[in-house]
Amino acid sequence: MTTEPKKQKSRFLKIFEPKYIAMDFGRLFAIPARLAFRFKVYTKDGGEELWPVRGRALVVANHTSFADPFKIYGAFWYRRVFMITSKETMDGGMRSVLMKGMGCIRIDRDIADIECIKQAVKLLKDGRIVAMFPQGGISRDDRLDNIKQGAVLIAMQAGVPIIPMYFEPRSKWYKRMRAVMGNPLVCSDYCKKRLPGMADIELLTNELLKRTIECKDVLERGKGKD
Amino acid sequence: MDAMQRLCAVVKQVFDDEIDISGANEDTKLKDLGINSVGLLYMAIALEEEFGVKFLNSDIGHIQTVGDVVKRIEAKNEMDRG
Repeated sequence: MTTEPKKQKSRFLKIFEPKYIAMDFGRLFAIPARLAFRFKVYTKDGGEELWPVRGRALVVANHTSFADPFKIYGAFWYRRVFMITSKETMDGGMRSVLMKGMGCIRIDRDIADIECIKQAVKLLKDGRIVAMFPQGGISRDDRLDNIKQGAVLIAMQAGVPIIPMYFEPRSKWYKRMRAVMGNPLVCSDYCKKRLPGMADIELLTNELLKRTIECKDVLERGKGKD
Repeated sequence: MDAMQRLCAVVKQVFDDEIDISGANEDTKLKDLGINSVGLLYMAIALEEEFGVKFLNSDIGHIQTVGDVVKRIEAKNEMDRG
């Protein structure tokens, strides 16, 4: 029995996938987002070659305002980003349709939302970038003291690295948006088991939090002043 | 191996011996065993991988006790046999 080699998608179809036409249209907003935020992305020491992100990855970032999803769209303007969005933000007639079209993945934070996890894992396995804010809500005071374990669970299931990012809240609207990309967290470096335990998930979550805080420290130490 | 034994094996793997359900009965609540929402989610994923049981949000919402999980595994076994 011979197996047919899988047909490679043409470069044109890779760029213009009809099912993501609404999302690509939405990505045009990355242009004003980039103009408004005037991004400068820093990487942690030795991580310069990691930017821009080419492969599949789960991006996690701090969440200080409603503008944060646009910061991620702006920073990753060259990729389609699927955003995990709370049901409170997504639910509601036309908004729901628009956000689904934009590639938002609905999560119900009140229950153990297995369907959201499966959808995110599937997209990651397809080679996409999925982004989420694992603090579980907006933290106006920019405190990074706790993140939920769901991010690690998704990354482990999909076998993708987690990229921690920190977006510095702007003190003035005209100031440049500074973002730091941390060293990717590869779950398999910490746990080789086929079915990791909850203790492993907790360990990785703490490591992820540590790396996100390190990103914040990069800016606080004064690296990369405008 | 019956459904309860299979569930015990999965719980042992997922919770690294922190949680032992071998002494639990079908009415024991998962919450009382110390299984939180992420734990439940992960246990459901592990059960899907181990036994091919499929869970939806509506199923997860109804799982409160050890018996609810066992019933789910048994239903899958019945389907496989039938």
